[in-house]
Amino acid sequence: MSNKSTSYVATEGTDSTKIETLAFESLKKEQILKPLISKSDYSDESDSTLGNTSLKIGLSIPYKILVKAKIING
Amino acid sequence: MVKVIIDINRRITQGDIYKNVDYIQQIEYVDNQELIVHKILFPLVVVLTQDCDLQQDSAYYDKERTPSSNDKKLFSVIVAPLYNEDIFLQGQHLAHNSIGYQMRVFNKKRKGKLTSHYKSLIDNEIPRYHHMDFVGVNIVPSVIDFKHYFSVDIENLNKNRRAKYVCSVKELYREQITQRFANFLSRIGLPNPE
Repeated sequence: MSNKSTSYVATEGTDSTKIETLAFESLKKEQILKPLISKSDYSDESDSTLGNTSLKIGLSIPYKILVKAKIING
Repeated sequence: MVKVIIDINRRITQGDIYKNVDYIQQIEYVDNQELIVHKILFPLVVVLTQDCDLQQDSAYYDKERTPSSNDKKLFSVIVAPLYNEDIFLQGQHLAHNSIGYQMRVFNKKRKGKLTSHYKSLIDNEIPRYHHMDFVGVNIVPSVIDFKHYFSVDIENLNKNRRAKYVCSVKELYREQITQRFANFLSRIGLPNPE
């Protein structure tokens, strides 16, 4: 997974604290972790679909990312 | 079973499934120059917003039929995450070390037979969850957790819609999902007996 975040615009605050966040850069590379779960991590004696990893969508789990953003209009 | 269609050219529709959707958890100010955004990336989410609202909002993204006022414009879309059933059953679907939540475990089988808890889950008898076994798209069996609903900025989703679109749940199935979601939200919690 790339640690380059998508372009994202958000505004928040009153006039005096108005900010625009653009072009996030990753804060810590090690926090951008691979979300894919391997069958060995989550094996199940039942009819698990995890072994069928090549084509399936929805195998990964949510994960948290911290991104640093520059305040353009402080 | 849940039937889907794949039509990437459509507007955002109730029952659409999108991939890699961010939830902005917190914005932390470091100083006057920088801030840190805490976000959780959900691999799959389903849209739960009322479809007529989405239809009216879509006019604002069509230059040929832009409404004269902004009365019907939406700020956000309600979505709920889909979790991989196998990982969900083990209570590990939010256990990534960046989140670290241990969730309820569902035993699928006991003594070779499906447990009543698992049957309740796949029969959609537990108000909080909606089980989905997809037909027509290669998504693993998944579970929606209505308790984890959140909203996504609609302009941002519109901008990235084509890249994030996976499929759309067919009408009958999506209506079952949204009715169950509405029922979940409108439940009345009573105090535990003393």
